Amino acid sequence: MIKTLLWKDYRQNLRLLVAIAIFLAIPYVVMVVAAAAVRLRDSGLGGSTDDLHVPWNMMLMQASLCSIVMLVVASAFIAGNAFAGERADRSAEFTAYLPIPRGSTVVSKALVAIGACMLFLLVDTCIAFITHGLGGLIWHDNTADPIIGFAVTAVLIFGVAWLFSAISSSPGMAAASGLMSVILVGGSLTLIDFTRSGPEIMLQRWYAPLCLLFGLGGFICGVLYYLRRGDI
Amino acid sequence: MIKNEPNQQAVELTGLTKRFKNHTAVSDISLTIPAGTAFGFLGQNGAGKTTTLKMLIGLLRPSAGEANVLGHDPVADGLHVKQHVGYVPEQQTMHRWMRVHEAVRFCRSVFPTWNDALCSDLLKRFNLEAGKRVKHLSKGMVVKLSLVLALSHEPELILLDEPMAGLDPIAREELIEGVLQILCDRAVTLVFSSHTLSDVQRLADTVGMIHEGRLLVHRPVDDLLAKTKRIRAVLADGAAPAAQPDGAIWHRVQNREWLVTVRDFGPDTIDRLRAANPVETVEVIDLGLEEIFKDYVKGWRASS
Repeated sequence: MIKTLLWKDYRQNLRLLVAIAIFLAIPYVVMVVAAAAVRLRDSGLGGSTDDLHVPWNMMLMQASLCSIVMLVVASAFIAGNAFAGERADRSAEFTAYLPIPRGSTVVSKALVAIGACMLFLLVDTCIAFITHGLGGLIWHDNTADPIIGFAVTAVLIFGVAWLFSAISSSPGMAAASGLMSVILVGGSLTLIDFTRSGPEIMLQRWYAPLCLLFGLGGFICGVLYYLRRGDI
Repeated sequence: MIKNEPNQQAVELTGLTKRFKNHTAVSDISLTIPAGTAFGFLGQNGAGKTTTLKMLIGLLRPSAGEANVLGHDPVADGLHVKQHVGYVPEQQTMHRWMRVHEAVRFCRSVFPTWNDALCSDLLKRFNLEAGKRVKHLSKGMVVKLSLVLALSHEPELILLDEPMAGLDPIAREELIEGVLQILCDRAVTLVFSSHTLSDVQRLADTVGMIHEGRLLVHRPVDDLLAKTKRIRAVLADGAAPAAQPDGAIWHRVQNREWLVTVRDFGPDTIDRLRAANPVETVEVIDLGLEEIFKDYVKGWRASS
């Protein structure tokens, strides 16, 4: 049964996933076009292609990092569509009156949503690492900081969007809730930092733990809410 | 596995109630539907038919009361009930991107009792093309596909929610014939809702009339038609009715004409009416299902 559910959820999200794939490809397209333009300009001036100001691998790495940042935003739409998407087009009722355990439904939706995010992340990360290695770039001690920041932000956005998707019938509203959660958490900590005096920067200290707390909490609450929901 | 035994009740409702915030959609419905019979829910739009059927399949949780379907609670034993019930909703909710064969494959994987031969037979009977997408099917064809999916796992109870609504006369006839054929071929219990009285009269053994969430009457169709009569009496000059006959559903006095509809018309009803009221002439009128339904609704409105 789970195979059929996975197929159904994949097909249900196919349009969204294709749209997100196109969205995440934009940085690469921009980089390729920019590189081609630079190459054309330089060759027009009589210069060699080796004289490129920015190497290809560096440009690809920047594109992949940009794509990863965009994936953080896109994860809100993937999670937001998980339950609310079927409720919005009323097809949730079709699966609800079939003898499908809700647990299986949740597992399938989680696998498709998390799997899609992971697949996109894998592609971007592979490009980033390959191009990073080719360019002989140096891994600094603080290189991981922004990566951790993006990762916890993605967890927060995904978890909150997932929770609101389980509650509401609007995928847009669920996605917006996920995105708003970043502003709420980040904004609240920044506000606290502004209003209090002390050596400790709250945003730096608490942003990641709070993102993980609300993100994972949202995900678990969403699962529990869906499993215990009375009416579809 | 649940099996319909003779005299077993397929559906038992006890004080079933569903409230949505301040609105009561279904109020205190109690009835039993014996296994192997066809029961028609008759009521206007918004009467509570769909809500009741959704509670039977476990899509809605009752606010009060109990539902027992094939011996199980549709909420607590939802999976068990859904495995043995075929449901065709009023609004078709199938994934529109699915092709007919994909919808069949999807349902086949979730029902352990799926009958491939029956499914193929029904697809052929309803002329459904396997490769067509649901979004490209006409309303009638989607209802037929929904019926195929609801029947191919050989359910013991079929719930049809306004299946004929919005269909053209030919599609409607095909569907009714299809349902009648299935009822003849297999000993299943049918519960369906409709606001089309002719459909109810053709398909149902027993009818339940529902209005504003309340069950006004629940009786075998033949019994209802045979025993519900309208009496047209002409009152004596200047007189008013003194006492309504027993089981009066609705009555109206206009000048000297007194119309009264009774639910259990018997051989002595006229004599008792004459004895208790100053009437000059009395005429008994046979009623169709439509008039009976209207009189029940008017009587309920007058009394409430």
